[in-house]
Amino acid sequence: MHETKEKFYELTAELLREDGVLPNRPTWIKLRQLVQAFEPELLQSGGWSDTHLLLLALLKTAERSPERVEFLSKVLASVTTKTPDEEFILLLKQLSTDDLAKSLFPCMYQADSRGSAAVYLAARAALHLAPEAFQYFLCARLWSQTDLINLSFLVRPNEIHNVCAMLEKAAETEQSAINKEAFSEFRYILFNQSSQQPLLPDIEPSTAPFAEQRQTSESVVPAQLNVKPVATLSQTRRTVTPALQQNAPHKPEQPDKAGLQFPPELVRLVETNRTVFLIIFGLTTLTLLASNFSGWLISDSAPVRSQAEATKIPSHWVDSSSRELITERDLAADKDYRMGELYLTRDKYSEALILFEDALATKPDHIQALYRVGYCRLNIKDFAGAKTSLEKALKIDPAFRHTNLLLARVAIGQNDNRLAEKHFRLELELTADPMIALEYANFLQNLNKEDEANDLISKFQALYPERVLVLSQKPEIKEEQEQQQ
Amino acid sequence: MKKSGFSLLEIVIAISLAVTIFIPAMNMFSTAGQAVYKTRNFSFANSVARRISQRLMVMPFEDIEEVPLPGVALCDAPDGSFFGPFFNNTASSAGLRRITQVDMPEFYDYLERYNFRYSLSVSNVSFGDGDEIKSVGILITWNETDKAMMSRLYVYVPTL
Repeated sequence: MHETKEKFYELTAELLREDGVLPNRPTWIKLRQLVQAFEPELLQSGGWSDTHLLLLALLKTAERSPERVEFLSKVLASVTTKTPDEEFILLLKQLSTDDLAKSLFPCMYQADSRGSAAVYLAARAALHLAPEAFQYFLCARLWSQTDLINLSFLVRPNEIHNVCAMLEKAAETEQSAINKEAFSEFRYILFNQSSQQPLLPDIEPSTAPFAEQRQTSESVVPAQLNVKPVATLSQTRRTVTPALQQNAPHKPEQPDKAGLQFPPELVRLVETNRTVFLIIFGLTTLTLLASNFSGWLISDSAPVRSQAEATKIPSHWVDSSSRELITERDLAADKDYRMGELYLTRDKYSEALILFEDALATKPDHIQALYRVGYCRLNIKDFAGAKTSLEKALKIDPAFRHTNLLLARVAIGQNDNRLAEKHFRLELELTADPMIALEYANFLQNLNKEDEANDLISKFQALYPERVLVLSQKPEIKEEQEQQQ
Repeated sequence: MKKSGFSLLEIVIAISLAVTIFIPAMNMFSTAGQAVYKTRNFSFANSVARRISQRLMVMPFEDIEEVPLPGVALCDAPDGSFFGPFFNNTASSAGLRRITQVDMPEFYDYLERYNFRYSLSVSNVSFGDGDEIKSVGILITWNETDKAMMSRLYVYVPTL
């Protein structure tokens, strides 16, 4: 057995030194005869290198047979987990394109370093893909820069523009940003191909795949590819993916190297509705900003004060109803004024007058106090004093109610009928009060202006039909009636 | 190759538009919001004054006394004042509720934040033979932003 193996090694070394197509090399026949003669023994003995295994596959199986593809796939699956040697690559180049495509291309779907090694081998073996196949390979998994460079060697030089055009067109309809990016980068590499030969990727000795990358399982893709030629990859790829997802239980237990991974459905959903999500995100951010900002703006930020500040009396307050400023002086004047009002409830004009004047001493422009001083002085027959006070009130507020009425009464007390008439009219202009109208009409009647008095009564009677306005009898008539009695 | 994205000019225009819309909208919210706060405080002050006036009508005439400014705080009001205790829904002292951090925390925080206080300005006039009248000015004060606010209500209380 040992001798047979040694013989095999010797013939293999000789075969690899020879030139030409493998089956035409002189040593090929010898090797074939050896393998056929001692096949069971040779196969049972272990310790074969990848190159020898590959050669055994070629010698043992017929070209383009499923057995060869299966054998090659196993050998390549092993080779892609380590750095391939040049001897192996040289032998690989001797394989027919069909055998290589069926055994090597499925390995290129691997999302981990096995896929990278497969692309490298395909590039070294000078394999070429149909232009339309690149779009689907690029969508199949995530591609590193080295992978893309190696993949670019799979484009026939005369098809570069064709591939670029196809990718550009595909990018227009592609929803995934990742795929678009891959298309764009691959096109860039094709146009600016600087590397003269394929680049050896970082190959990890373990077979751990990048978990959950949107990619293929090992079992399905080769099966699909076994049935269909490479040129039809474009039609098969889309249908393969769901099947791959169903075979997902073969996920490795190893920890994920890429960190947090999202389900592919979620990634696809986000990518396809990116604009909508951006709008929603923008609106949400604006709403949050607006609500926080408006909350800050509308909050009545009354600071929490210390005990000393809380008990400190301010220089003034703002009246919550009238928005006027209130000082302690106003409050003191108000207190006197209110007290004067209490005396008026008992018609104590002199006592009330003192308090109103006290209020005025504190606040000279206290208009209610001025009015009340005029009222008290009128009632104690101090017409001059009343007139002065009431005129001051009118200067502050010409529309202050009943001030003109009191001035009219003061004028009557001073026998100034024209002035009294004037103030009556002014008062009625301010307030159409029927009682003031009646008082004015009686005054006119006493002045023998009965027509004017009746007109006034008629006018106000029309305004207030529910009230009964009757002129009082003249003093002379009253006196005559009393004499008759 | 034409690159997608926004130019600086586009960003500046977009920000200008957003600011143009945003600031007046915020001012509108601000004005409306502050009006709400002011109205709430005004209504509360009026209700406090009304509560005091109702109490004045039933309390002993001689107990109506001057409460000078800055007045008594509504929160942590001492027992025996108008708001200590605040209410009692039961027949026993177990139902007494005071405006304290423990009994009514949210109400307490509100009153403390705005420093709600009450004062009484009392004027007493005697007409002899037990005929007396008190004029009571009920002054409710509080702080609103940087303003000291006051609500006034005057009532006359005769001897009963």
